[in-house]
Amino acid sequence: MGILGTFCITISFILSIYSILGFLISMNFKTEELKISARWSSYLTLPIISIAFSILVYSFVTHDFSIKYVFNHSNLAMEPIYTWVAIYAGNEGSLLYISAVISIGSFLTIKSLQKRIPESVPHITMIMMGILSFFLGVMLFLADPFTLLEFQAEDGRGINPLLKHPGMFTHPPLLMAGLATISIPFAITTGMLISGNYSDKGTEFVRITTLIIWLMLGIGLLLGSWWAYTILGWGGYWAWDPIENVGLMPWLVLTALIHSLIVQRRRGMFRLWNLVLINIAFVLSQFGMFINRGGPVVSVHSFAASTLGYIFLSFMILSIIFPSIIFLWKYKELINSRKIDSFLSKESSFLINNFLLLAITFVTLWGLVFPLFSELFGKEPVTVGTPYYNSVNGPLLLILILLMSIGPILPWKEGTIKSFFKNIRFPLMIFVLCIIICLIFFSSNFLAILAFSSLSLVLATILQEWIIGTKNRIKRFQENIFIAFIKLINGNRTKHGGYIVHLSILMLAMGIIGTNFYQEKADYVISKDKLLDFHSYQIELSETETKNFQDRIERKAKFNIYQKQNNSEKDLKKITELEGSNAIYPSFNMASVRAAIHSTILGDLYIVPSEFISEDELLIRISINPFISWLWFAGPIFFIGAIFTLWPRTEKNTKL
Amino acid sequence: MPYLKSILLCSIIPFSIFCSNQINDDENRAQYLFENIMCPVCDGQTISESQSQLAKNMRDIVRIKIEEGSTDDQILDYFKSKYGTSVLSNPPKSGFYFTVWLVPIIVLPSIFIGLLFLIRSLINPKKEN
Repeated sequence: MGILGTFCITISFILSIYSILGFLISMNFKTEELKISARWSSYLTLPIISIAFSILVYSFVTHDFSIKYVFNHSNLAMEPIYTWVAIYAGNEGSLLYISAVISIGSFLTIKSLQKRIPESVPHITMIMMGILSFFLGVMLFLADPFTLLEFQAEDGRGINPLLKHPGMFTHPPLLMAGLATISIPFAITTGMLISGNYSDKGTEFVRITTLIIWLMLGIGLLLGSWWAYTILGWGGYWAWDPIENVGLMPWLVLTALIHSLIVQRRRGMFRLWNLVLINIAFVLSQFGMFINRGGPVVSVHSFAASTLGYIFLSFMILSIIFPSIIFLWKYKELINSRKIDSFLSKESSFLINNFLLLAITFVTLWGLVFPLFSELFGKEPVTVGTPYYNSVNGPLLLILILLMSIGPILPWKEGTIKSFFKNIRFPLMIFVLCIIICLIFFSSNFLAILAFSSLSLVLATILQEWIIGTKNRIKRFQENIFIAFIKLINGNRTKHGGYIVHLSILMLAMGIIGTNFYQEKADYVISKDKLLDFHSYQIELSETETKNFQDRIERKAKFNIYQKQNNSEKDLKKITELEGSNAIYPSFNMASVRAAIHSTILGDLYIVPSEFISEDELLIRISINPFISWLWFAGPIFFIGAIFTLWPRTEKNTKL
Repeated sequence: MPYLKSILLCSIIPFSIFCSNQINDDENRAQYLFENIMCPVCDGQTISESQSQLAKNMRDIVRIKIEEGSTDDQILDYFKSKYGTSVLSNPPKSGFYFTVWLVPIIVLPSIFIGLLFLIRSLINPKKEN
């Protein structure tokens, strides 16, 4: 079977190269047949890569350990459901997965653009196939997932134990797919630029694909956070680890892009700027591939690590040079004479939004490369960790949140100071009130209070927009309040979907601010006979057990959680039972520690069984993580908001 | 305004969770230090997170040193002299390493000011008159 897999990769590699050459020749000699054949060969890569993918799945399911990749990433004891995870658990398999995603993406893109902008399709296809052939080529010549094992094996090495988690079914594939498909908007804009037909139809398609990619990355990042939160050793939900950062940076740039694309759509401005943003996002996604696969920085993620760093670095450098040449050659075509009308306008606020998001990206990138930079200067190796990122990105995020409250109330073109103050009056009152209340009742950290209150400012502007809009509709059309609201937000999905996403960002911020400023954490030795008093909880160690499995030694600890009633230590009410575990995998030399978590809307009680001292005694780390669950609730809201924005319009409400 | 109340109610979320803090200072300091010291044998993990034996020993040393009355800086310096600068989760705020902080502090505000000028220059001159 392995040979057939390699054969499929070879064929699809040849097809993608043929497609590029076919288009090149047909452009010069105007041969229509060759063009069609080149297009079809680009389509054909999809079924053939799918066959290769299916072969890999089949090999995993049938435990075909003659294939090295299957041997390295699974064993007989592995449940079949983990096949999906095992496929992208290592470098070779994840390359195949990425190739499959790119071929699906390019098929859908070319198919849909064939009708919209046929004149640019050859160029777009060539770029897509160029990118696809790179990944196929790397597999074919350097990292073939179907390489045969040199010896006969009865059983495989097994799957990385850290991957055995529900979050792992979705987090890596979403992130990888997101990073890989940034090539689509890049190919479309660059293709349109080369062909000299930079059209609005193409840009609209770019907007939709960007939103989808942005959604995939966002959800992927959030799922990764959730996974890291439930497992010890990953710095809580976000550790500013290099690999996390390379996933975050493209997302930030795409966030900037979807904002400035709104301006392009509405006012025909920022075309050049948006192209630059797409190119930056693409380069950052390639940077991510490089860091992930043998980059020079230290990270806790080492799943896909390989020795192929230099190949991905070269491709990244190419992905900077090629678009830059195209850009310098053609950029004049995108310049237009539209001007901004005023500082007090949506256009300016979007520019500042772009600046802030790029600033966060830049600071993150700077922190990531600084250790290399300092070694370059012959200095001692250093680490740039969480404290740096928090102290630099924290204030930038705060300003961004403040801008989120100002942006929506500014009008297009030109606003007056008078109307601005009229619109900001109520939110500002809420903001001040919130500060005062916090100062009186919960006085502690002024920065935290300011951050929390800024959230209320944004929330108040969004609610104000919705309430006023709904009221106007009720007055004008005599609708009931519910219908009026639905019709209001349905009338401009881009805008109101955006507000829903803003709400989810507020929830995210709530969790981030809560845990950053108010987390309480301590280590305790807990024993069976004594209740441990922590915060408002009383914790009892009820049971410990040790189990030996084929692949691991697992120790479990069970806790009874009581809450004090009426502030008295005697009046206790049992609220829940929790279980944490600490498993050691000798063959991987790895520990997998899962926390016992009691989640409430105000905060989580988080218990990590760090060390089993004896059967009755345990070293635990307990923390209270205020508002952390808001992070996870933000996910579905984010999803709903993005989907709402994306939902196709019917003819009736196409007017903006 | 009638809707003011509803906005108010939604905007101000009860903060009752942040009332008690019974963890003593030494423990808080220990946890803070754990998060600021990297585990030298694990990739990208602090000793707060790591399950390795070395990290456990290092945590114990931190606790002992706190009990002995060392200051945070003394403890960090101790580990730095033993394992090198990269054991600190942050570069020192002095000498060459200060550039990691300096670049954001200088570059970002200057770009921002540049941006404001850019917006100004983009503003339609007709409107300004």
